[in-house]
This record gives sequence, structure tokens and C-alpha cells, in this order.
Amino acid sequence: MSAVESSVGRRGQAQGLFLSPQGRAGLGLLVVLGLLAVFGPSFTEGGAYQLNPLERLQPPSIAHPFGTDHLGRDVLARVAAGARTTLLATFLIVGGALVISIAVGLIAGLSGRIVDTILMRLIDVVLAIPDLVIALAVLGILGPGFGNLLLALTVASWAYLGRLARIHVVQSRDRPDIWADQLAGVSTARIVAGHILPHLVAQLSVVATLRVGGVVMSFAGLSFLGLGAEPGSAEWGAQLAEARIYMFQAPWMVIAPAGCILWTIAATNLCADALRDGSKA
Amino acid sequence: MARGSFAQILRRAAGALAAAFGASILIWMLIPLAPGDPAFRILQAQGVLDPTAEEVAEVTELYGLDRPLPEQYSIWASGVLRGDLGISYQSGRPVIQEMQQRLPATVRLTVATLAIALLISVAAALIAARWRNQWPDSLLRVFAFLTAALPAFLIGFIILEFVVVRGEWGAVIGDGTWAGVWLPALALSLGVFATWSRLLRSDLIVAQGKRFALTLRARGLTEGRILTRHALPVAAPSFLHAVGLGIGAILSGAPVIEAVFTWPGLGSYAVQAVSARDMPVIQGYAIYATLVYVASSLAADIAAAAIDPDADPDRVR
Amino acid sequence: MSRKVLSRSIAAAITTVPLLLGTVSLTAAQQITEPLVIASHRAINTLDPTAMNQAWQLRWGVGETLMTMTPEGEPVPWLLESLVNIAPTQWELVLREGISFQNGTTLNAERLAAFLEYQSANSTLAGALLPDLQAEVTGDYTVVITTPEPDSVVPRKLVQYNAFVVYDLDAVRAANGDEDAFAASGYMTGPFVVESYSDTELVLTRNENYWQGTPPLPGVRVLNIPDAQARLTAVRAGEAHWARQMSVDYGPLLENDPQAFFLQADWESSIRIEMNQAVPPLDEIPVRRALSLAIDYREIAEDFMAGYMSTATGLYPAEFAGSLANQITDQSAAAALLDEAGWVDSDGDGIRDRDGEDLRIVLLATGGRSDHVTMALAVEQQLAPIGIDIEVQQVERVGDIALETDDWNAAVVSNGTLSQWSGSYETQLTRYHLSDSVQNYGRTADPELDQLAADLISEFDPDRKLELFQQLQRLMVEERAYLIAVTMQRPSLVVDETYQDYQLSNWFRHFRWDTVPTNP
Repeated sequence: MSAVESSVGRRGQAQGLFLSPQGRAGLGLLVVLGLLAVFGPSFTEGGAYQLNPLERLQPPSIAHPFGTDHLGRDVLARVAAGARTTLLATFLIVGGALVISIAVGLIAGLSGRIVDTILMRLIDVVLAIPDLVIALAVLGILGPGFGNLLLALTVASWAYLGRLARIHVVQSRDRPDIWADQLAGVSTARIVAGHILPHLVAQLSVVATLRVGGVVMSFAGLSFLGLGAEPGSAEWGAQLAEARIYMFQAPWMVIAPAGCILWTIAATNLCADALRDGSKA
Repeated sequence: MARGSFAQILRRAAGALAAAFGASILIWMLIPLAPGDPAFRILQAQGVLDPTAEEVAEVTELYGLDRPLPEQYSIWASGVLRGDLGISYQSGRPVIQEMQQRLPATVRLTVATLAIALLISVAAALIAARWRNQWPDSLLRVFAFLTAALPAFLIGFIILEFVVVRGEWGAVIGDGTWAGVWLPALALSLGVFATWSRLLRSDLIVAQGKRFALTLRARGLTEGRILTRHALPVAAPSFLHAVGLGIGAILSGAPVIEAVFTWPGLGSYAVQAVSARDMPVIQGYAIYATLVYVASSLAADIAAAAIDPDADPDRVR
Repeated sequence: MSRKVLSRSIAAAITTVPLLLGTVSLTAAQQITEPLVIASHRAINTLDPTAMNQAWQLRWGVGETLMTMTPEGEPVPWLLESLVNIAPTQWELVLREGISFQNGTTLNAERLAAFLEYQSANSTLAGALLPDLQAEVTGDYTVVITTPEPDSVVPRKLVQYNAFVVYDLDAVRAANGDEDAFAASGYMTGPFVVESYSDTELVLTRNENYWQGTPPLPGVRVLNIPDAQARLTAVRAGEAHWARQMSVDYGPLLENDPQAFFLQADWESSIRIEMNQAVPPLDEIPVRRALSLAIDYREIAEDFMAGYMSTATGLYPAEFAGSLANQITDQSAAAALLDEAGWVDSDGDGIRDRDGEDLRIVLLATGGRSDHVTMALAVEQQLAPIGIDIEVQQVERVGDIALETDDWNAAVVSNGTLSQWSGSYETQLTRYHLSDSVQNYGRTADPELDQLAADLISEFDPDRKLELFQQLQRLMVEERAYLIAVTMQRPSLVVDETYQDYQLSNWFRHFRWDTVPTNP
């Protein structure tokens, strides 16, 4: 991030996030999730993995507020542990995609025609392949595993953001403040750091935030196909895939992780809306 | 995008073709880059648990697995252009033949899904925009969130349980016909419902706030009429663009839904191939999905361009 | 049935009458017009009977074997009238008269001999079981086969489903690999004939000229439904009568379901832990033995598997003749063994260590098998208190990794002595645990074990053989601890209400020629 505080958009965004009711609601939801991810697992003391076969499929009670799963594990403990796994993984994927797309956008937007064309064609190619197929391809080559899954989803996520980034960079080349700086002999690096990057990060983070829900859901879809996190590991998508055969007998097994996902999507959507409104203001 | 000149469309089509070519290289790399000796995998997939060195050598020779990679690619690509997608590791039959058998079912599912998805999201967006921030809008927002937070397989099994098992309507085992397509298509269309309906709703609201809408309202037109007759065409191009991208989501969701509904299409074929690591089949599915995706986003762009740009009376330039 | 192991004397005695497993006599009123619909996964890939994995032919009543097994697991003649050992390397096969292939061709000695020799030379598994088999026609319905070495296991080998399902070699040759031609060739002898098949469905119709009588069911449809939950839903919605390949997870789930019933047969087949003897710490006998003693087999079967599996008391099913109940749970004995071997918790972290190395075991489990994963997690939890740290790793195919790498110490595998190897523990041993075994996961290289296996195969005397068999079990479990049977699974099937009282056969062929709904 840049140290130069010249970005109106960013300040507006920050205001949108903290001052608008939407932004506050979104942030509030996110903070709760964050607390769950950071402190939840320590409160439940490994209960996420403790098997109690004699207490299988217990409905919610005081001892188990969200009930137990088919191996007698505490569902609350599992979604708390899952918050950490799922949110961290999502953060890595979306953050990774953001970093790649900003780098590609800057390189393409500021380099000569040839580099630009090559990078844009690459983006076209990646965009031409549906996400699931990219994930299948990456996992087919590297073999299944949660680490490889993160890589696969990052690869599937960056191209759309990369195209937006490049458009943004190209457009900002024509901005009067940047013209003025160029004429005044300010180095490209400083212009990028001071004028282009802050706007770029602000714009892209809105779109990236909206991708969070999609990424969390794709864990579930890939778990169904046997390509997600290991069955039994505490990850919301994997928990949903595991819970599906019990969904009518033990609906709490589905409701808890699905509720967490809903919570996450609601939080990120509210934040993205607030960020977007803020940057327009 | 709004100025739909022929040259522009041509340029867009050429770009799409180039992208498809690039994608083909990535898809081809699946086999040489996959871990393990491909010859070994072919034999194991065919049920030879402990292949001998001779059997491995024979398969290597047969599939040209010992040639340099560029040569392997050109052999593969020229095969693909001739419609030869290789032999399924599992069944030993030509992939193209098996795909042809399953293509009609998948086309039906995709078309029905598109129809349902367009219908419900446009209707939901219009209702939400008409009664903005009132209960119908809130209700639709909650529903959209629910569809976004429940994975497709759960939605599918919920539909099967309540509609088919308890409601005794429709079938668990998909037969691939138009009659049986509606339940899987509904489940699949809910995957894009949230994005499409919310996006169109916000575009409609933007259009409602424009100057032309004020004029029309002053002239006494009802809000519903303004929405359907005037705001919708204005919002259409960006919505169509999203629909083009949404085809990708439908293609990605199809394997899961087809597996849940035992739909005899390409998606469930791909799922079985994934669990067996049947690479030629996965490649075949990847080629199909990529081509459909490229073609449909091209078509969506052309359709968006074809919509009269003057539909937006406030357009400057 | 006799508890004795097969021998010359018993082989002569098994010239028995037709064996009717669970026959239901049909009254004229019981006219069944609907085919039986079975939801299954990956019905078949090819109709070519020489290809591997042809279990479906026997399973769906298309083909039959020369021998079969009684509910107690003893080999008895099926298409044969008798099987007699006439010399150490020679067996006389007498065919039942009046059996013909579905295409009308009589199954006679000449065709049987051609089949046997061809199969031994061309099928991978048949060739591994009975290599270089010579078959000589000695009568219209009599064939004498000669094995290169004395082989007491021949009767069980002829039960083997994916090796010796009898077909009409001329018809198969004429089909020349063409699937449609196979379908039309009527190349087998079973009660049901292949009418058509695709990757979504296998359609069978009854063989009106079946040698035991006309099958009451008009036909069978086997649907390929890859997802287990979708198979169950198909049964609950009335679209299929049976669902196969349902994991034990569905047992407790269906206990109160009025539409679907989880049936199980008695036969047990083991789920085992293979131990890699090539890398530490399982290269040491005391550690392997401690592992075997520390696992609570009862808790796994009764609690974790909710009683839908049976407690493993030994390597082989308790009902199997000669099996020893020598696998016990004794955690203090396990701890004592480890102490003695120098594995103690010197740094107080709860994990035993020696020379700075923690007692850590990587346990592989197949990710797609929920029961294997549960078992691995249960073992991890059970061994933690005595200071053994198990790291469960889920992999796609345990077999590939276990054979190709040394990055593992133990692996959960399914292996049924009765269900998979027709009760031939000798064949099972030859395939997995000898120094020259093709699937020697454990890297076992024990000359004594190799010799024992060779002696078992060439031993015809039942008492002596029983002695050797028990010696084998003591060696495998107590003395060298090469293998652990974690639990015993049973064949299972989900059925709708019209089959809720159906008696599953122990032998994996649940579906019989005279199968009818029990509660129409």
C-alpha cells in the first residue's frame, strides 16, 4: 500500500464503510466472524475433532448448542474451527488473486503494446475456461489436496480482476493529475504508488470482496466432487458435503455451516456495497 | 459495446477464437502434466491392476506418449479438430462417441436452465425494483441470499426430497428428456439467480432514477410500465453481459446437479471421469465447456450490441 | 456343513445334488410382471468376458461358475456334478448334464476344456490363479485338468468370480471384441440374458431355458447412478427396488425409514491395516504388535460403526473353518511392549519417543471411503492415550501410494477372504504378503512365511492343513504382527418395502435366479 494519502476515493470508501449503516452492519458481521475464527477454536478445545460415537446425531442442547454430527463431534466446535480454515483459505485465495491481478494490470497497462497484448490474451484464455474446469485441471495436474485447491481457485479467480485492473490503469493514464505529474518529471514508480495504485486497490477490492461468497461455495461444490478439503476436516464446504446424507434427520448439521456461509456472504456483500457507494460519493 | 459495428463483432469473434486456441493448450497439458505414467494410468483404468513392462510399452507406443511434447500436442490437436478426443481410460470407447450420446441431454438442461434463470431473475428484479426496499424486495433479497449460501447439491437433494419423494411429482433418475428437465434445471438456475436478479435490480433502479424516467413519470406513465418498457432495455446490455459470464457458472454447476439428478448428460459423465481420473474424458468435457462458454459470452456481447443504443434517452455523445 | 478343509476325501464327497440357495417356491398366483430395478454404480464397462473385473456377470445372474460356496463358506459344485482330486496335480471335473449356454449350445466337456485353457492363458487373474492350466477331455462331460504344481486350492479357485465365469469360447471368438455382438451372442449359462447395455443402464431378460427352471422375474434393469444418496432417493421414490454400494453410514440412518431398509448378510470380510515393514517405526515387531494390542476392536465395530460391522477377533471371519480368535485388545500389554523396546515419553509431550524420535505413524485411508476414514480417525483417538501419535492422511487410492512410495507407515485396506478371494486365504497370501507378491504393501519378506504359504498350497491332508493355517495366523498376528484386521464388514443392500424380508446371500451374489419380492 502507498503511503501517499491523496486518494479521495479511498477516503470516501473508508467513510462509506464506517459511516453508512450498511457498512457498519457488514463490518459488525465480519468482526463477529473474525472473533469466531480467532477465539472459537480455543474455547471449544479441540472438540471439533473429538469423536464420541455414543453421542451421534444429537439435536441441539445445552451441552451441544448446535447439536452433534454423525461421529458425535460438537457441531459448534466444528463450525468455529471451520471459520478459521474456511476464512483463512478464502482470504488467501481472494488476496492472492487481488495481488496477481494488480501486478498483471499494472504491467499490462504501463508496458508497451507487445507485453500488453500477451497479457490480455492470457487473461482471455483463462477467462475462456469455466472455473470448475480450471480447478479440475490444476487438481488433475498437482493431485488433490487443500493446498493445491487454494492454488487452483486462485488461478481461476485472478483473470477477471486482472482485466478490470488493466482497464483501470489504462484509463488513469489519461487523468489530468497524472499528466501533470508526468510533465513535472515525477518518476513512474512514484506516480504508480501515489496516484494509480490507491485507486486501483480501492476499485478492485470491491469486486474482490464480492468474490468471497463464490469462493466459499466452490469449496462445497468441490468437496461434493471429492476434490475439496479432506472429509472430516473442519471446513464449512466439506462439512456441508459430509452433512448432506443426514440433512433431513439432523438438519443442524447443515444449518450451522450454511448459516456461517450465509453470514459471510451477507457481511462481504454489505461491505462491498458500502465500499462502492463510498467510492462513488 | 453499444455501437455494434460488424468490424467490432468480427474482432471480438477473432479474439474468442484465439482464446479458445490458448485454452486448448492448457487443456491438452492435463495428460502430460498429470502425475504418474499416463500409460500406467490408462492400463489401470482399464482394469489391469498390475501392468507388465510390455503392456506399458505397448500403450506408450499406441498413444504416442514417448514423443516430444509439441509433437504430442499437434497429434492431439489435429485429432480434436477431426473430432477425435481419444479413448476413455475407463470404458475403452472413443470419448467423442460417448459425448455425442450425452450431448442432447446436456443441451436440454442448459437451455431449460437458461430459460428458468432468465425468467425468475428478470421477474424478481422487476418486482424488487418496483417495490424497492418494501417487503417484496426484502423477501427476494433473503431468498437470493439463501440460494447463494446453499450449495447446489443441497438444493438438489431438497428438491428431490420434497418434490419427488414426498410430493410424488417428477423423477429421481433423470431420463434426459424435456419432460424430466425441469427439476434439475430449476436447481441449476438457482445457482445464478442471486447474481442475476440482484444485478438487474440495481441497474433498473439506476435507470429509474434517470431523467427520462422523471419525464415519463410526469407524463403519467405507471411505474410498472416505465420499468418494463423503458428501464429494462436501458439495463439490458450490462445484464446480458452478466448472463454471458453466468453461462460459465451454469457450466461449472452442471456436473454437480447432473450427478444429483442422475442426468445422463456431459456433466455427470465428467464427474465419473474425475473420480476415475479419466483424463481424456475430462479433456473432452473441458473442450466442450470452454467452447460453449466462449461462444455464449460472444453471443451475449453481440446481443447487447444489437440492442438499440438509443433506448437510453439520456445517453450522451 | 463340514468344518473340515477341503481334501481328497471331501472332494469326493461333494458330488452333490443341485444346491438351491434360499429357494422360494412360486405359486401360480405370484406372477411377476415388473423387472427388478437395481440402482448401482458403474454397472459394467464391457461385455468382453476376458477383460478384468467381470464380477457383474455372476452378480447379475448372467454367468455362472463351476463351483460356488455354501452359506458357511465351503466350496461346492455348481455347474459341475463333481470335482475330484485324482492325483496331486490332477483334478477330474464332471459337468452337470443338460446345461446349455443362453444361445442354445450345450456346455459339454470339449467346450469346458477350451474355455479353461483359454482363460488360463488370456485372463490376467485366471492366469495368476491357475497358470499354464492343461485341460483334457476324458468323456462327454468329463474333463481332467493338470496344474504345473500340486494345488489343493483348485476348488476355491474355481469359485473365483472374476476369473472363472464360464462362457462359450466360440461365441466370444465370433464376437471378436464387438460389444453388440457380445450382447447378441448368449455366451453364458445364467438365468438372465443381456438384452442391452449403455453407460446408464444394463437391461437383462430371463433365460427361459435356464437349467434350474424359469426365473420368476421377467427381467432385471441395473441403473448406473453414481451418487449413493441419489441411489437411496431412487429407492425411496419408488424408482428402484434395490440400491447397491451403500456405505454403513446408511444403516443407522434408515432404522426408522418406512420406505427404505438396510439389509445385511452374515458373512464378514475384513478391513485391514497393512503395515510398512520397510521404514521405522513399524519395521519393529514390538511396535507392530503394540499397535495390534492397543486398538479397541469392539468400540470400532459396535460404537463407531453402530453395530453395522462386527468386532474383529482375528484375521479371518469367526465363522471361517480354522480361524483363530487371537487378536485381542490389551492396552497395558501394548504399553509394556513399547516400554521394553525403549519407546517412552521422555519429554512429557504425551507421545512416546526414543533417541529423539517421536513414535509417529502415518496412517493412510481412502478419502472416498467414509468407513475407512472413520476407522482411521477412531484408531488415532484410541492410540493417543498410550502415547502413539497417528497422523491420518486421506488419499485418493491407498494402493497406488502404498506400492509406489515409502511416505507411509500404515494403510487401511478392504480385503475379504470370503467375499473377494472365495475363502482362499492361500491366494490372498500369495497376492499380498509373500516376498514376491505383486501387491506386497507391507514389504513383507519373510522366508518362513513364504515357505508356510507354499506348504499350505501343496497340502491336501485336512488335519495337517488346519494345523498350518493356525500356525499362519499365529505368525501373522502374535509372533510377527504383519497385519491387523480392524473390523469385519458385512455385505449389505438397501431395499424398498417389497423386499424388506429378503434374505441376502452371504456370497456377494445377492441376486439369485429365483429372487422374488418378499412383501409384494
